[in-house]
Amino acid sequence: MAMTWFSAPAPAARRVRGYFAPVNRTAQTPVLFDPAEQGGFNLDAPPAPWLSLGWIQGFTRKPISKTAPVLTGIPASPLEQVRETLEAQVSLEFLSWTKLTMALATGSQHMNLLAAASGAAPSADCATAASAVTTLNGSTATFVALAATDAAKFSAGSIIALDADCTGQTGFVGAPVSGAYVRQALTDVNYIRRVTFNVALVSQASPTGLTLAEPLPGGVPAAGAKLQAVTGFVDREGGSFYQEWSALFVMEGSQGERIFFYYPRLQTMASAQEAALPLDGKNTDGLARVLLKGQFLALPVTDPLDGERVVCYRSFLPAAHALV
Amino acid sequence: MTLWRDSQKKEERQMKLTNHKWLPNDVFVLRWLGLGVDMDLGSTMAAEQCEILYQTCGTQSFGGLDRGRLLSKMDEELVAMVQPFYTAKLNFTATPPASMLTKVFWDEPGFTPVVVHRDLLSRSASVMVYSYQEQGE
Repeated sequence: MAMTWFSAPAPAARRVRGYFAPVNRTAQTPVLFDPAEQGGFNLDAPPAPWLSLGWIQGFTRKPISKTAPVLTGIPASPLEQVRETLEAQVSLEFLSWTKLTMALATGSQHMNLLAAASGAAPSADCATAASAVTTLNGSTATFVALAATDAAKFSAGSIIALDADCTGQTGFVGAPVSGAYVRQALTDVNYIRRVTFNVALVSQASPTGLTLAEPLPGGVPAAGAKLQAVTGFVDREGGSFYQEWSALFVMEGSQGERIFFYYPRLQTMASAQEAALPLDGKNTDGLARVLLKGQFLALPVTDPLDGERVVCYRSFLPAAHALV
Repeated sequence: MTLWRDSQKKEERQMKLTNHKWLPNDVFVLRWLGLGVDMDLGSTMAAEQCEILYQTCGTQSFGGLDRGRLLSKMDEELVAMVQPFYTAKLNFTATPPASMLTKVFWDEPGFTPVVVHRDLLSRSASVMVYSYQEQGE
């Protein structure tokens, strides 16, 4: 049976959705996105390990690769072109403040403000934290089993960070996302929990453990992982660590067509910045939404298909029945 | 002459619609206003402004004192109704209506301030509705 078709104009899209996934820094492996296999995913439930960062705005791609002509003859005229440099930047504004968006929009380590020990001396990033408690067997990604005395230290509404003790490890630390690179062994036993992305909100506390409002990014806690309460987050201007992420940006058109921008490797290239967005015309100088600004440098990967070095893949899935 | 009469009748109907006493309470009344057409595309796109009017006197059992709450409820209902911001385009000349190839889509609603007329609270919202013209239309 023959089908009919239509000629689709340029996609009309509302906003851009952003998804990030951690690059395996130790193995230097980005997270793959295959638009042919995964392109039809539910935008509210991205395939693992992609994490949704919700809507973003001000998404701007800036290709700064340089090409140059190879000249020949008298007078010289272009014979062909060569690509001299391969470089691209991405900038955007996040419409929410979360652990992940804040970390993405900062140029260095992003730390959890661990709850301070009783009577601890003040410090800019809570140097003396309350003791960690050990998770028990039977924990899952959404439930942390604890001894009753430990569970009593938390309540619904607490934020927790869960990761291993820092016992002299060096190199990339933190699971499932490398939160920092430790050059020499540190004495702070809580350091990995300070930089870990394995954080969640407690929705219910009981004598047997903590039920979480959302799954831990790291999944089921590893044996021996410990837990600490978090009061907030902190990042610093300065530092030498660059986070690296795989990123996927999606524009969905009015006819169901989708445009994907897949960056296998993105590193933050600017320090923490904010932008003020007035809530309405009346509040141009007053009440404003504070947006996190992110600016990223796209790093190249070698495409195993043909050995070409690339920084971004732009894919288009046309609308059903649209002429191509 | 026929055309003039038709347009006069249409205008009279619209005047009645803008007069609150002619509008039924507790329902959404749609009016189709301005029309724009962009023909410089692969498929011609039509854009039509849809005005959604609604009003309430509240309920008798509360003596109308709940009219503010009911209007807020209608605001919420309208916000829920316009999402997602697209729907399948159907051809109602056939029975049952046949699905077409494209979708009809619209933008975010813009709300007017509440109008108070005696014991009546009313409001309107406006959305721009877009549609692509398909073969045979």
